[in-house]
Amino acid sequence: MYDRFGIPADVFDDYLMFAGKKAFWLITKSPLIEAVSRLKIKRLGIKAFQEVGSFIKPTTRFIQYFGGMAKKAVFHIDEDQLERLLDGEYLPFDQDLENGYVILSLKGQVLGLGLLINGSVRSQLPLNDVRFLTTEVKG
Amino acid sequence: MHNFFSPYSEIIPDFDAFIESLNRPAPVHFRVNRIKVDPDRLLGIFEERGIALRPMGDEGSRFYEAPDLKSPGNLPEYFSGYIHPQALTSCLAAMVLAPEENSLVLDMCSSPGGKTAHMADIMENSGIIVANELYATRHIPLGHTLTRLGVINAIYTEYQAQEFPLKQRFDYILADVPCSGEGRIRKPEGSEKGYPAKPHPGSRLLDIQKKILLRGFDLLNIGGIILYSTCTYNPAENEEAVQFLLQNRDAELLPIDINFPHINGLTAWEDASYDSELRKSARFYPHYTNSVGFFMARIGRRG
Repeated sequence: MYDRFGIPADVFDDYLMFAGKKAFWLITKSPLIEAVSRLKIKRLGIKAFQEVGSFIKPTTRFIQYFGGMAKKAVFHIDEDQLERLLDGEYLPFDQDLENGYVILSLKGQVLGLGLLINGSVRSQLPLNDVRFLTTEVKG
Repeated sequence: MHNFFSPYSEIIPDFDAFIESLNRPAPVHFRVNRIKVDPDRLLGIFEERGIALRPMGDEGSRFYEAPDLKSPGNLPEYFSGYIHPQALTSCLAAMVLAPEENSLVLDMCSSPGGKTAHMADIMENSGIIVANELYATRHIPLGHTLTRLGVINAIYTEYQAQEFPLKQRFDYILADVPCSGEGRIRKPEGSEKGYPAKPHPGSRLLDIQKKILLRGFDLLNIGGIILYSTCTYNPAENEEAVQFLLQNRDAELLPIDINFPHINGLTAWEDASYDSELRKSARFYPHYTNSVGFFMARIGRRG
């Protein structure tokens, strides 16, 4: 997270990470966790990372939570660019950055990730969640 | 429609106004999620976008009515977890329970998670909330709500609420129990008739409600607080369940100090009479709040 986005490692000092099946889960660090560990726990906190092939991908919700602290690899977009990304367009991104994930930020509002490949970014936002997304107010 | 709720004509004040209020569609209310955004910043975003807002309740309560907003769930601010559309009265439950930071909290019937997330907001994502939900299918919306709103202090369990294991006691418990849901009934928009059938709570539901409240109380730490709530008007699901607790446990009703219009709980209904302490519970009606009908009782476990 530091190498790609410049998010300092100590940001995560207040959290615990648990490894699950092909995913990593993050929860607030609290002495109370031991007390509830006697319960049969179905899941906890938020899913932070998941394995995608041989890669570890941050989840949208994890990026939405921590992405505001990123110092680099942030693609600032406006409403028009958001609509185009949601329509499946590739948008040019002129920062000097290796291929990989970038944070999509709508006027400071972190939406999730885009994927930068050879100077163009495409949306990695979850289709089911953004299918009806619009900045139009009425309707 | 008048006959629909006529059994309550003696207990619901301004009954004609109550009936009239059911003919209006429920407005869009939402809560600003401080876990994700500063309320002033959110207001600035909406102002720039031309979304008119009407604040509800005290200044700083962070509940708003958005008269022109038809589908808040389609906004980027919903996707980002800045807002959560929620009935106004439903928002009050977490406020009244008011769990402190770093406390251990149990939400016995957590899905779809709006109240759970509100508690996490109040606790600033500290401590632990056990979000319990029996049904696997209801874990999907629960997980979606909590992760979208950035709730990182929750663990999820799937016990029957009335049989939640007595392994651990809690500082605060929310028992927002399954109910007949009368408080949600409104006339469908554009319909001259077509009201849903009047829900009738079977004896099994009434029994479950009492058992959940009893188990919740038994799970409290000494000095802990449980909030019992429903979205129904039926005293059999409300005051009677609390009365049952008072008869079976050393529980005390605590006052509900909230600046939203409500009336006191009942001390009598049909042939039943209830402890005078039930006056400390609160009934919320749509003609006073322009929201969902709601009941809540704040109950303490004596030390």
